Amino acid sequence: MARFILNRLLLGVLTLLGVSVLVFGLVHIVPGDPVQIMLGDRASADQVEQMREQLGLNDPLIEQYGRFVGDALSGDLGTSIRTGQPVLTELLERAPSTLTLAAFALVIAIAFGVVAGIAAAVARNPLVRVPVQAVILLGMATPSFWIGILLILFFSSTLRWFPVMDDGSLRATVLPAIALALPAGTYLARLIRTGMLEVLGEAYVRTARAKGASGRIVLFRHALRNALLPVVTVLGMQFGALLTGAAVIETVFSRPGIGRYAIQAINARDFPQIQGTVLFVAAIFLLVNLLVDISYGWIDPRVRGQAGLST
Amino acid sequence: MSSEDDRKGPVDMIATIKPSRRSFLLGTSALTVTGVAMGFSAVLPGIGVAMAAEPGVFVWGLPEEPDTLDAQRTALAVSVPILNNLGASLLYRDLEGNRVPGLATSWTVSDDGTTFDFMLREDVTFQDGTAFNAAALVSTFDRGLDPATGAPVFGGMLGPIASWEATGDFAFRIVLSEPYGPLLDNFAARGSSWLQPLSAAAIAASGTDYGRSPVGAGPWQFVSWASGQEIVLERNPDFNWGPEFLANTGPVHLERLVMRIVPDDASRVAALEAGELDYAPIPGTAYQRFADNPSFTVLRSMRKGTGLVIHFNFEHAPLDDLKVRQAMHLALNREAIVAIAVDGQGEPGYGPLPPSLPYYWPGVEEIGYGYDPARAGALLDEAGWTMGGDGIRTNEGARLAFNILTLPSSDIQRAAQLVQQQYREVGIDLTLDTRDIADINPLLFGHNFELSFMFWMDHDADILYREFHSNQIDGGVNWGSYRDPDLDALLEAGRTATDQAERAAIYQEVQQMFIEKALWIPIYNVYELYALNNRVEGAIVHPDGYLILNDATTP
Repeated sequence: MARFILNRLLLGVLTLLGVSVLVFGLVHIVPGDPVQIMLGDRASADQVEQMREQLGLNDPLIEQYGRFVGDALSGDLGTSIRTGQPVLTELLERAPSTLTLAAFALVIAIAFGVVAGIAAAVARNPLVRVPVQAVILLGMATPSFWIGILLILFFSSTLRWFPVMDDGSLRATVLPAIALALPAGTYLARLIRTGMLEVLGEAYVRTARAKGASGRIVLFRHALRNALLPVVTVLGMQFGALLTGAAVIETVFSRPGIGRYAIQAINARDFPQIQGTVLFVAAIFLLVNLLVDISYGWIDPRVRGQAGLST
Repeated sequence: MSSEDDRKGPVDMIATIKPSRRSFLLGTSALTVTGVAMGFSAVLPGIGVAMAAEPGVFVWGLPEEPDTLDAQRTALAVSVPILNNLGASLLYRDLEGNRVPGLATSWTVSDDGTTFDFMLREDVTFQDGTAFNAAALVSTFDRGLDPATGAPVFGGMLGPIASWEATGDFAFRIVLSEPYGPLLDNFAARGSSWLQPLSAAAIAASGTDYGRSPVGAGPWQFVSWASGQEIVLERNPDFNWGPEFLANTGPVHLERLVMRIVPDDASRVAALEAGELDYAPIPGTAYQRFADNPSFTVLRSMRKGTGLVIHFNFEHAPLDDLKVRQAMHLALNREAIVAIAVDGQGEPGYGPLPPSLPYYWPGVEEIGYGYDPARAGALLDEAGWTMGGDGIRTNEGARLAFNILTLPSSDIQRAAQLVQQQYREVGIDLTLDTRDIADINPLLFGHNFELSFMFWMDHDADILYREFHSNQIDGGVNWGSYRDPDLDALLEAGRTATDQAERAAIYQEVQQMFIEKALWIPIYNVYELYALNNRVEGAIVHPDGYLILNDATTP
């Protein structure tokens, strides 16, 4: 197990290194001179040169990259051009809001996925099955920001159950979490439904039934447990999707999170902010997937054996 | 990470559902979502408590977050209303537009228009307790004009400033290297918050964090800034003055001013309607809705600058031909463009300056270009461009076709498509070249374009100097390379005159010349729309387009 974790950790570090190359390259790939873009129309040639010097853009590329990685490792993600604040400080200020939202959304997505997935797989009554399938279909097809606005109009504007704007409370996290959870939830529901239908056709389920096990036991002990395995696998990926989706949801619900920070950074062409955010989110994503991999190895002993770099 | 690909994997539900059931499905989905939300709400305490606004608190919705509240370092217009409340100006413009005393009780301008003497109030302190005096202004100017500060706006607003000094404890002098007419207006305009005096002690005390803990001399003092969420100001109890056109010349009546950052238009509208915001900008599409709502007053003021203009490259033939340019003015139905591009929340443009700027001359509405496609066609015929078989005019084998640079924003895109269609009707083929501003800038500065859409924001007619004086071709924003000694002379006279009547006469001539020579195509000027909750009493909307809260209360 230790070796498995070590392998995964190594893979994570390599991936992060790859991300750092891309993030670093960003400044050099974008069309136009990033310094001119950052400083705007009225900047003089002197100011541009001064900024280039200040950012070290006149040094050899490899030296710049080395400095970039070195700084990042020591916790320095650069200083925002727009605000003059350290990027890491800004990210850490906003991280709790996004992580709370994503965690809340993940719980809702799993709960919805399990309930809707089972219902869609086993319900015979069309009055149950059809609406469930409809919700799953619509959840897949509807952009979450639109759902978000509908939720605001109905539950905040009309019923006044929840605040329109985030005020840092748990109550204010409910609607955005639902909106954010919908795509992931419907995806999980489809996955569970498929898994359930597959497993319910297996010989061992028939055997269990033949032995006289009740429908409930067959469903939850035999079918669901096996159908859940692939769900654990995709959870890490889904968490990444939630972080991505947060950008839009945070804008709609006025939440001060990392997603909105990224949008602001891109609009303002604040390269240190953009680079820092990508690196930060990539690190969180990798960490979550590492945890998922480890837990999966725990759940399914077969995985531990094949934990080499090739997986 | 390919969550998109993953989703294509398992079973597809689509096959099991007929499209004809769509309306039914929408209903069930809303119900289910309702059910889920009800479940949550039952778990949380305090159901049904509306987030009612508190007495004494004014909640102001901002569309974006300021970069910094260091008045000299911010580059964003969104910082201006906050800084206006936090700080104070040397001069103000009253509700009729006249300059009136602020921190400066009186001022004189030397006959040659280069020396400005300000006499200052002696009873003002900054919110950190530091006294306001001429020395404070000197240190403010020292910092604002120090290249190391990197102030994006400060120096530009002072024009050709040569020196500044304290000529007494409460006497401050500015000397210019040549006359600069806009100077006093710059100290009085809404944007004067960029020039506001700052406490050197406060800046030294908070160092690099000053932009997150600003100190001013105004009616409101800084409390907190929660990133991405809100900026809170509270009443400055020691504020004991105010411009004379306000009833209240003591501390403000309100307790707290909360600036909430709400980037999404739809959410801002919802937050206003739910009573969570007292005041916020609204999109044009929501205008009627708030106008019909008795709980709100809609405040509409024209933006200090244009919504959209078309810029010519005068070195690109046939744009050097007056008749072609005139025809391009006459071919546009501006009313139709306003109705669609900005949902009717604008006015057709006729002259180079919008009516919201000082020295706008209303005569442009008489002599400016209206919609007359027949005359446009006739002018093009005269210029030698005759209608070709494909509906596009030609002249000795050349087609009357232009490439126009345009930005991806939705209002400009809608306008651009209408312009394209209207030009086609008179036989001009327009290709829309949509690019990001980062791509457009090098093309404009390199004079490497034919036509360009653009808009600008400023507060003085001197903007035309930067756009059209021939010495602004290299490095400036005279992208179209326009050269005309007569216009140069007028623009120089306009920026050096200090007398308001004299400047008005000069800029009237400039505006006439723009129309005679068809120098750029004003398409529309836009309104800025704000909704104000009627629970707020006594808020004053300045004609310059900002809200004054000194007299306001929220019972």
